Amino acid sequence: MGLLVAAVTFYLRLVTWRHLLAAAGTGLLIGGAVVSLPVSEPELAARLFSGLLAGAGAVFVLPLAAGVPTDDRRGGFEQLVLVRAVPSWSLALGRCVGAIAGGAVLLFSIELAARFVAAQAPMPDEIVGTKMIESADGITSWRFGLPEGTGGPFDLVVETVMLYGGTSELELDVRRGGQEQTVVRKVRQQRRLAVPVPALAASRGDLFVTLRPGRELVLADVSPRLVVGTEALGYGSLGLPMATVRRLLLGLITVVAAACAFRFETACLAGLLALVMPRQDGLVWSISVALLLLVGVLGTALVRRQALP
Amino acid sequence: MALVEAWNVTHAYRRFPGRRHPSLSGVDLAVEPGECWGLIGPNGSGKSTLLRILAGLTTPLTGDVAVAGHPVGTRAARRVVAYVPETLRWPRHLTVWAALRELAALGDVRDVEARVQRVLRLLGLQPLVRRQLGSLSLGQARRVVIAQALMDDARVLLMDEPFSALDSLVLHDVTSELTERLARGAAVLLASHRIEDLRRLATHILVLREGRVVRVGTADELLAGVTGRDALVHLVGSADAAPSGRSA
Repeated sequence: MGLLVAAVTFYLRLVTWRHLLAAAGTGLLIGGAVVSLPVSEPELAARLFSGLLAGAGAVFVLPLAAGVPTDDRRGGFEQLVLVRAVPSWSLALGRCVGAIAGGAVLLFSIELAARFVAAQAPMPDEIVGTKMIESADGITSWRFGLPEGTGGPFDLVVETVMLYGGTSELELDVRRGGQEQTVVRKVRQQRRLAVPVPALAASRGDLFVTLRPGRELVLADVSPRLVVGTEALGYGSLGLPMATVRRLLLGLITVVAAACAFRFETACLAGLLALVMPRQDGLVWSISVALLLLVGVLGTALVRRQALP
Repeated sequence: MALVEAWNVTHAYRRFPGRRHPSLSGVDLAVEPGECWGLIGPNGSGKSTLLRILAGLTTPLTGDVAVAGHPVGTRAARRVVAYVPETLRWPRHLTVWAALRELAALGDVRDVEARVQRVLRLLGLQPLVRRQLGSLSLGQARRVVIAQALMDDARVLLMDEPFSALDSLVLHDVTSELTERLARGAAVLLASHRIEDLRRLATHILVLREGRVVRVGTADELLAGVTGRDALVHLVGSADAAPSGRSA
């Protein structure tokens, strides 16, 4: 019973409407960051999203969880708890359970708000070219299947390898329908080019591009991509990897276990160390959690007899 | 059997590694059911430390302490003890209701709702039940501290300056409650600077100075003819080295 009471009270202290609002605000900021940063690849945007979310989870949730028992102890309220008949193990385990539940709710709130905004991030709508011809001197021809009604202009993204440094040129012969145009682009030590391709207005049908790299320029063995517009990143691309979730969970348990006996700053530092620990397999992670719970119980029992305001 | 027993209790606060500041030296105490012991002494005499030791919140350096026959600090001892600290900063955003419910539930109190309602009525806290503790005045917050101690039928009440900042109406009700509990066999240890508080409730007086018991006796003996601002000087200042704190 004591464990349940400790868990529920800790959860309610953590999940207040103020904290939920702050979590939502944090999530909106994260989403805004993903939208506003010049990221053009969904995978990169997703990694940025999960990185920011993990960081926000650590910075926002862990100190809140550490603050509940340490603030109670500093103010003297913890005396009123420790003088009661509830066993130390109930208190410690209940706090950990409540912290996990409350932390999960706050983290979910951050993620929900962040995902709502970040999913609107414009990502390039790309068509990958199909190689038609490749000659011995590096000239390649590509076909881009454009949907009916797609106008232009477009950006052609080409990956390159500069052999000897310096500058070179890339010449593009663009054909669509009966029209043709040549575009020349200077290349200076760039691994990725975004070359504006003319709309060849009123033309319909697929786009054909012949790439003629200059001397000292080699095209990478990656198909060029034609950016025909933008589309929203979408919810499906975003999420938090399970490894990150486990790491945050370990950090949360570490913070609460340490906060049962130590000061706020010490508890936060312990949580930070847990976050940066090398990746652990399931067995090591489980043993770590068990040891941390033991630390929490022992810490509560130790503090119980020295609980001075 | 005495409800509270302490033999040769000493305590010292650690100031630097290896150095200690003594706070209690050789304190003996035995409180029988129905007795209210007033602890009086100048600032720093060890009253609060003694109460915390009896509550199991501080470990004495030496000596034995038992509450209702159980070693202090054990779960069995904590079941019979209620504690009112001298100073307390409540969690700001916790409401009065939530705080009392949480403490009642952690203390294995049966009929939590009924108990909490009862102390709310007793301490005049019903209008404040949904208020956040951080928004209460000093007197209101003090009432909540006393309320949490009166929620269950603790047989031993340890109260450190409980009546400071209370108005006379609430003081009257709390005093009546404590008198009833004493009549039912509870024991109360009450630390206070105010002679009138001790005169109202105490059956025995323990006078502390610099961590030592300098005087002990019944309230009738020690408080007879003692009034006003010279009371503490009379009790503490003119005392010689003390006998042990066993009740007369």
